[in-house]
Amino acid sequence: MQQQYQASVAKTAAVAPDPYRDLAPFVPSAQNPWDEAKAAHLMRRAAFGPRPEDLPAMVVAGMSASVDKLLNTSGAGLVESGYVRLSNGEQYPVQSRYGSRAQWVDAMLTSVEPAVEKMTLFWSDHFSVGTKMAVHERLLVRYTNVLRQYGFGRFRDLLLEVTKDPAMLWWLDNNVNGQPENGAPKINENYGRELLELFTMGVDGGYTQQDVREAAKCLSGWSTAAVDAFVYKPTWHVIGDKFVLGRRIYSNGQREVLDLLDTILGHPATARFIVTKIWKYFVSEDPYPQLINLLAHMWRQSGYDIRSLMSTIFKSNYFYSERAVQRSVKNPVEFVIQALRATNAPWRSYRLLDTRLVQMGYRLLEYKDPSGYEDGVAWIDEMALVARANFANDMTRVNGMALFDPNREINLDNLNSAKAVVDHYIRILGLDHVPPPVRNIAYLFMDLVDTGPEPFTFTASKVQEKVRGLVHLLLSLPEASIH
Amino acid sequence: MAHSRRDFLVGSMAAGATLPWMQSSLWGRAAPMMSAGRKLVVLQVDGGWDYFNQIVPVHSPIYYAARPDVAVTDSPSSTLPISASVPEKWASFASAWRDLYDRGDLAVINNVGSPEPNQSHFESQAKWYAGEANPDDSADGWLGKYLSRAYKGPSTLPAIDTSATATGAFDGARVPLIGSTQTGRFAFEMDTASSRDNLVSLAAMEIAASVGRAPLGPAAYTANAMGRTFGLVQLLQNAVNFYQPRVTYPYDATITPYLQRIAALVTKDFPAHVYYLRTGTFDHHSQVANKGGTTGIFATGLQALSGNVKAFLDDMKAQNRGTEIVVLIFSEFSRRLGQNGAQGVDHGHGGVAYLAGEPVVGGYFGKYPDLSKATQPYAEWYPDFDKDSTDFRSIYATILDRWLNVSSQTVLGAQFANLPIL
Repeated sequence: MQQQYQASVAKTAAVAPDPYRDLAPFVPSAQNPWDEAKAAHLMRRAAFGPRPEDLPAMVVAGMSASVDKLLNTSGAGLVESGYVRLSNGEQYPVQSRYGSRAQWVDAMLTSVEPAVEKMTLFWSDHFSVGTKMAVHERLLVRYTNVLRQYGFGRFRDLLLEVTKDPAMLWWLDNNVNGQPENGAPKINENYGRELLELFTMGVDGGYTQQDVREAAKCLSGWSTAAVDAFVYKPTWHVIGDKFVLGRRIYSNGQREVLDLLDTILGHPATARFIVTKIWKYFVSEDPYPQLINLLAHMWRQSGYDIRSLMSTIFKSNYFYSERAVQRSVKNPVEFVIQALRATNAPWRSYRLLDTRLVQMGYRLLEYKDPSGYEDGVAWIDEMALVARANFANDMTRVNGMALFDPNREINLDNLNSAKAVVDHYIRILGLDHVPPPVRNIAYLFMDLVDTGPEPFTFTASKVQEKVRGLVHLLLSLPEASIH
Repeated sequence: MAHSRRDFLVGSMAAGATLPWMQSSLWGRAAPMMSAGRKLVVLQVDGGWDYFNQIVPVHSPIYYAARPDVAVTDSPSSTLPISASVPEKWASFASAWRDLYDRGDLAVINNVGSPEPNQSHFESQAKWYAGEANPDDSADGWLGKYLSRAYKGPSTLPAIDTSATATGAFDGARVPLIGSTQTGRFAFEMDTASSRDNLVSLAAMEIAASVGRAPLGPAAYTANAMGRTFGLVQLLQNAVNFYQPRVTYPYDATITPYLQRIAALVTKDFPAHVYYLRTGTFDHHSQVANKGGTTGIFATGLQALSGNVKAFLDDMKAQNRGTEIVVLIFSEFSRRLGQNGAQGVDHGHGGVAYLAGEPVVGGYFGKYPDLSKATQPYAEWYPDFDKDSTDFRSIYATILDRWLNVSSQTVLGAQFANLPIL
């Protein structure tokens, strides 16, 4: 099934590729205006979706200014120690797994720099870490703060900071790389391998087992002091010149890692691999080779500036074309946060929200596998769909995980018919593209109860019953998992 | 049953569309997923069950010295011979094990343990879950590793956890939990506070999924998966609600309904081939048995457990499914040799595990612990892991290599000797 789907999207993409046109900035026209639908698309992909009230100002500002505003970020970090009080009033110890997750989800929902949180989610999946011992949980917020601070900067700086972060040093064992055995440093290849395979060049990027080994030697001695500090241990470092990707890295102690990163970034596979992954995550699952090559070239020219790369992508013709809009599967975090933001439903408890994310398959900051999650349609299976529908039920029910107010939109927008209510929620949930029969089913839903027809009225009990049920239904539609 | 009412609702919504579950047979959607094949049922006995009162070392004066109040006395009413060549005997309340053993459907695996044993339930269960001697916090479960690394079959729901609380054995793969009545099980939750339109909601969701989408792309893919999901959820509910066993199970609320659920899914050709059930607890720190050893909480619990396993296998045989199923029964550890001050037995090591079912090579495998090695105080002694022990991972390896037909080394990360039980 999945293969069939992938084959079919590849065929769609084969139509007359013009990467220069596709990457040129989108220019609105009378036929194809910059409107609320496009602004919402931008917010869903570059951040965690709009709150309905965000959109009019974005339409007035225009596409380019809206992208610039989203990407004009400081990358300020979250609280790293003590307790944190969330926007819903809950309090968590920061240096615990749940505290780390809860504070982050709160930021996704409320941050004034939502694009930073989205980019951080991407990097946390790319440079995924888990915890081998409970004591490592205290490293998690600090690790995501590194991703926040450097996630829109230059890729070299991001790589360097991730490489020396204690969470990563522990997770991929570089903290013991070079630990002497019988008086000589013993190499642990784990980080060196993943640095090449997962973090930069990709498994088919053209490096060899010898390159992995030499890279690990460059990294030997980059370790931890106690649990939570980076330290370089000179006696653990393998002395001597190294040869990586055909280049000599002169024996130079801990500074060899800088040469190693430059060597990796000098290889064309790196930009292609990262750009492809970013494109698939933020735009569509089916980029064509010429487009990737051009974008990778532009990225290298910019000195691997991530903000500039994301700006090009979010302003591009392709991004606002039918090849991108509604062509991407939401991951569980996107699904949950977008739903809460679109409906302005305050959440009651992080634990309840976390349970739902786990049922959909996403454990924030608890990756089992260094390669992160498989994205796209891999998120869609029977269990995940039941879990998504059950989240929708939980979010909209009385005393559920959120405080969904069925009167809010009716009052704000003076909705005065069942049809108007349905159309309004279809729009704010980003479901304008549902097939017409599905919209009709939603209309019919408003006028039926289990015992038979019963037309919708704006009585308090009917609104409670039917508006909650409607949003549950809409969020359970196949289209609700797509953006 | 609100079925006709739901049909009416669906009829008025779909205006003529026919949904699979509206068709005549309740099982209309069930049949074609996967034909008869090999199935594994794992029954994890929580709490650490006792070994010595189950397979009783009637030849050992040390056993009787160590358990003055709770030992099973050696008499025709309290013990049953295993075979002429086996000096130990079954406790009488384990007669269901005896029956399975006598017809060649039970492999008794003696003295099963783990290198570097641990007295903590949590740590010991973690070993069994991961199939590793010293798993860290992030270790995947052995069946999770099997499903993600080695399983190549067609089913998208290859395994089911029928326990009331999820097992760590599936960590690393996502598996439906159906035993729980709480959130998180494989069923559509409905707002029970205002339930006047639950059926309408479900019907609307199902019809909306069945509406045609542009054939290429993620919406069609998702709608297709949603359609399958409704079929499987319906099938599971029906399996639970309408199963008719062919034999009488000795009803026990902690195990019978769960085993019958597995029986139902197997007989209805649900596409899963791995079923997991946690039951118990057998954590008997006090009052484990009354004088004479044949009554008390352990006897009652083991009788219910073994009796239900036998009933399940009899049921499967009566449904012509006996040759498809093997059941692994284990506990995270066993108890110590000597009783404690509360006439209970504390956490020990070196337990017994069973593999049951028609495909199993029945018999008495491994060496019973040598009680002459026991040291005083007996209440603190348990068999060490040594050359006479069977590494628990050998059981997993045997099942993987010989029953699930995958490389156990790929799953477990190392080679473990197979046992001649399959």
